[in-house]
Amino acid sequence: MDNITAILAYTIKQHLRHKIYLVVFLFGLVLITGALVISSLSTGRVRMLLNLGLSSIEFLALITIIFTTVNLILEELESRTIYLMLAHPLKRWQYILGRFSGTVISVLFGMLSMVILHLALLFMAGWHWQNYYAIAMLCSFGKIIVMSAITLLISLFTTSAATAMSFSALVWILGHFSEELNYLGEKSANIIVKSVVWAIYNIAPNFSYFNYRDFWAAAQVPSAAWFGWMIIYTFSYTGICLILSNFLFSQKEF
Amino acid sequence: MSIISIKNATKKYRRQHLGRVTETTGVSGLNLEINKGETFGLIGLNGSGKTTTIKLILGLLYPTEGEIEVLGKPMPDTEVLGKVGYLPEAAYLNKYLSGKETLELFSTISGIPRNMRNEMVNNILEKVGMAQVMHKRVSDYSKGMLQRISIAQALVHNPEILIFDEPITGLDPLALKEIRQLINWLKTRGRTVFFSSHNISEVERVCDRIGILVNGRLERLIDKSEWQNHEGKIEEIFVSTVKRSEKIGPIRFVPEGHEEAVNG
Repeated sequence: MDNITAILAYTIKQHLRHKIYLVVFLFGLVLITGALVISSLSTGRVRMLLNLGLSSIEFLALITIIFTTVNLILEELESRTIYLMLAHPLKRWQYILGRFSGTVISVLFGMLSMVILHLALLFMAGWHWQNYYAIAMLCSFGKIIVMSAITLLISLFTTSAATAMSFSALVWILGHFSEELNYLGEKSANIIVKSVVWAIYNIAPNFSYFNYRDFWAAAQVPSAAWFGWMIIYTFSYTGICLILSNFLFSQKEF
Repeated sequence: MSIISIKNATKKYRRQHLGRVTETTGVSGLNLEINKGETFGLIGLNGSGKTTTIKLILGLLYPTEGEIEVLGKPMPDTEVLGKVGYLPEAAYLNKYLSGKETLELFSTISGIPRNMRNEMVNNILEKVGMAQVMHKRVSDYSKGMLQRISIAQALVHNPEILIFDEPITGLDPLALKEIRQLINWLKTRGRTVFFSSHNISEVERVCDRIGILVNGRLERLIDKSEWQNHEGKIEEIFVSTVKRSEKIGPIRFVPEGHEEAVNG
């Protein structure tokens, strides 16, 4: 356990001191503040501020998680720090788990700081607290955990950061349209198209499980079963990705 | 008693690019036994397989054939690594951490109990002369400072075996003297030291036994008795061994009138 927490703490320090990480979050703060200006020009001001802010937080968290996770191992390989790490009694799964958890916590920290600013702006605009906000953030965070896990896996079988980032961005898009893609696949008469779509549908994450907007639009609080399923999905998908990542990582030579 | 045992180890690197597979040999049929308390030096030209041998011992590479045992356990074995200290050629440290944070990290993953960690980290920082600057970021350190933190991470957990990969490459004479002093200190404490180098005279000064690697093969093993009181003996053996086996020819930028000396 000590090994995992040591790697976790090391990863958090590394991310929080990384200039690019800070630049992305500064950009996030600017974007959320910008949402205030844009919303002041429209009639549904508070609603717009709310939606723009939530989208900005999720979008920036996505950029950060893809960038940091892709470089998580590649950067250590480039600087050769990994040689020194693995020349110590550190099991490879401990390294993977520590690095992954540290990255997720760092991004959560960044998201929370943006949430604080967003909420401050919302309250100033006359908004009153609604539980949907917390649900929306929980869903965004679930997506970020899943994205981090799949990005880590992708980064371990690709050789360049650019390829891994492109693949991860593609997975993000597929994850949001997997239900639609599946529907189109089922309608197709071509067996190859059907099989490819089936494979993508089952391999890529399905972000429709995190779709809080359905509840928001219907002004409903989701059921406990929905929450349970979302949490099970997040942990199962993440767990499978981490097991596969560990398998790939343990095959690697340095 | 054998501390490191390499039996018929071969490491082949396979690279695939656009369907074309190329295979290169890192080391081939390597047999070597390192005894407890011994200081062993591995010398060879660039690309002769020194770093591959070290990575095989540390379990960073897996042998294509053969076996590597450290302290009686087949490698890779993470538990054994708790008794091994590794000093790489360059300081492979994370630039975002301070010197002290770096050592805290390595002391934790080396398995030092929590209640002893702080004391051991402070002790080693004192020993390497970095106590005054321990809170500075690694990115702000000079090359000499990086080398000292790197030495500290290799020693912080008081390992039984020290593996140094070209520790004196690019060092100034003062730092070179300090590394020699460190190896001698480790010898007096009964530690086993395995190190690779290009610097024959340094190896000669501190080692009990020397191995010459040529194209991944261990061509010669020389005992201290063979070079003691014979100045220049190792260089003579090294040059003749490498000359005999190396495929590349000598450099041809020869001043007029010296052709015979170069052509042998």
